Amino acid sequence: MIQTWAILVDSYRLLLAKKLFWATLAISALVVLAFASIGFTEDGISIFFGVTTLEAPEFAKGTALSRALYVGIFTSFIVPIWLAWVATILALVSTTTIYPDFMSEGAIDVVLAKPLHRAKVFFVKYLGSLLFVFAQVGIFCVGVFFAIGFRLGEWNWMLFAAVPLITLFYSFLYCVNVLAGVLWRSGIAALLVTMLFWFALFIVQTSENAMVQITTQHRMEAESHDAWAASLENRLERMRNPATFGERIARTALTPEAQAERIERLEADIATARERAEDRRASAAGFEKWRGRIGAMMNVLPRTQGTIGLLERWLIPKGQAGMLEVMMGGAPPPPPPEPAQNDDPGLDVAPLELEAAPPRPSVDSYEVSTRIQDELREIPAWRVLGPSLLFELFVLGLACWIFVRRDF
Amino acid sequence: MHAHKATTNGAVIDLHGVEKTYRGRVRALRGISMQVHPGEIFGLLGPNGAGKSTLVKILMTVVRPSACEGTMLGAPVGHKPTLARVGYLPENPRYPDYLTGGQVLDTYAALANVPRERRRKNAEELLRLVGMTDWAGKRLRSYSKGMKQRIGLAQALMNDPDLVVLDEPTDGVDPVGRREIREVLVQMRAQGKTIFLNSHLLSELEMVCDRVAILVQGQVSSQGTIEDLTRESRRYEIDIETNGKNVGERAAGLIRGLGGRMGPPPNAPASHVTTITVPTDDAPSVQPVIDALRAEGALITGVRRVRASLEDLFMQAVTDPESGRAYAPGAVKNGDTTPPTTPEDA
Repeated sequence: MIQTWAILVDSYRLLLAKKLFWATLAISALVVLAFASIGFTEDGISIFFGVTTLEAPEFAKGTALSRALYVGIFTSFIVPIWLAWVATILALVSTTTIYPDFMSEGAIDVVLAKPLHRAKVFFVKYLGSLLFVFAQVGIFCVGVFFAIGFRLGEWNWMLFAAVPLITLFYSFLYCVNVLAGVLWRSGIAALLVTMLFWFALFIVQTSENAMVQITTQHRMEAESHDAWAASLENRLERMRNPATFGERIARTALTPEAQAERIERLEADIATARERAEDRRASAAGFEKWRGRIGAMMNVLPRTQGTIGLLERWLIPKGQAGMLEVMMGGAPPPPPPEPAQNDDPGLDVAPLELEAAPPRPSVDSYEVSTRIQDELREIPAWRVLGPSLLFELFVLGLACWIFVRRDF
Repeated sequence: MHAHKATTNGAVIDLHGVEKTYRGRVRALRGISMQVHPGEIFGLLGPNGAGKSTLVKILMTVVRPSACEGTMLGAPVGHKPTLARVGYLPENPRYPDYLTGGQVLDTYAALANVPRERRRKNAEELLRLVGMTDWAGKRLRSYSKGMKQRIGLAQALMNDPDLVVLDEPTDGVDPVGRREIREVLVQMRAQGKTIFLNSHLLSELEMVCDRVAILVQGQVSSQGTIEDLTRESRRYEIDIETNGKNVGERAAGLIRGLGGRMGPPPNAPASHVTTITVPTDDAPSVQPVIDALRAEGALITGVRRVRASLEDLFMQAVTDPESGRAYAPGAVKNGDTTPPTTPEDA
């Protein structure tokens, strides 16, 4: 325990000695200050501690959307842009030399000459290196916790889930940095490899997201075409219903030929709808294959975006307004009208030319995003973190194996 | 290949057949056998690339041997818990420069599992011993090389070790500091500690070492006490002023009888002084020669009892007896059977 504590204390001292740590902390303080400067009044959103106010009654104090906006700024902007991007890069720059410096001649000799197993040195040093991010995010979250508490009157302890989540996110990248550092004993090389790895991860995850978007969109379009076809079939059935058909023909001004032509057109529309639904399904299946391939790849790679996404999921429970609603202008668009069922017996006997045509199928991006969000919420946290942690364990195990076997 | 076998015969360090071949087939060590006895200061010397640092690093588990039979403090070489009883100062140590001298001592002693109270007490004493008390609270980045070396020495002693392994401990230290370090070593020996010293400074080793080993191209060329190693070289040198005359017949006969020789002094070949070298360190044997010289009217200007210095031994060890040239520095490549020598013009 004395040894473990000594390595951790040394990491803490190293942390305090890094200028970049203090620079990052100063920027974090500014970000928290800017976040805390946003408030809500009876009229809308106040900015810079009330210096200006944006009139937006839908975001008035106490509304669901004001909460969605404030928490959303944290989960959708501050976390992914500041904590999981800029601050992460600063942290990587700051910590990339830890292992190469530690392994340099003259430095490593003294440590290895102690009654301490190399693997223990390696892993405790790794934990100590994560202190940089852990401390940064911890301090940052305290600021955000008070900002949200004072602005929304909501003392949400779940906010501190950001500390382990972002530390984990960082560790998924840092383990690659450590492996490269142990291999080449160069901080610059390790940083470069980590950045390349992060970029590759970004490409793979963005591709996966795109595939999810496309397949969901196509599936929903297929469902929509199916629904359209079903409503047209329903209409056709009623037109052919001997009980009502004769009377309707009698009341309509259309000629029997025109009516026959209309039925023919309806049948053609049904065939087209079915064909389009099939086409969409086939297309979705094609993209699904690619999604599966990328998903398989992601099963052995860390899900950095998914890890960060967990925070939003935990802070904005299902059913509560989120950033999506805020971006849709304050409320979800009205649902598309249901295809006319004409359950009203009066309508069943309405003249054919007066019967409303069912709406053509359409799927808007809000629906797709909502469906994707709902699907993502269904994925358990262990499915996101499990493969990522396994990846980290594998990479660290490899780095540790090299470290333990190396001559210095 | 990585083999350890433990042997023990009371020696603090007892090594047999230590080998190390690095990748690229560089044979840094080629069957080292060596014994370091309790309570002695043992000096390891050799030219650059002889394998001294590799040997020290194997003892300290920094480098894994290709083959190794032996013990350190009674446990097999590489036994980690034993290192709690060993203090180590590497060559060119690099301690984190964000730490103060006091923090360095505390951190590295904690890594050696020394409890906090003992760390505090030892740090105080050792800082005083190496003359760094006033600097204990200052960061290492403000230290000179010599000061860092002093802190390094204190660090090596923080766990109150039974064996202290020092690699170039006086590197970068001024003459006053060197003397102080030598005194510390002698003091530690008096406390019963064993010191394994690796240094290029032969004169310093000669001053403090009880026994030495000379390593040349991965092999022990010679080892023993300095007395043993220099026994054959011990002799008397008698300087006489000849002024162009030859030594008398009686004296010349006595000198020949003792296996001696005459000639100009090695450092002044053109002088009128002749140096008579008698290969013995037995004073009574030399008296008849001196008597004969005086009886023949020779003017004796000097009588010296001489033995080879450590530097002489070192040069002898690193010189190829056939070619008379020094072996080339560096380790031997795998497959080479004879060590290369320096080129003619070197």
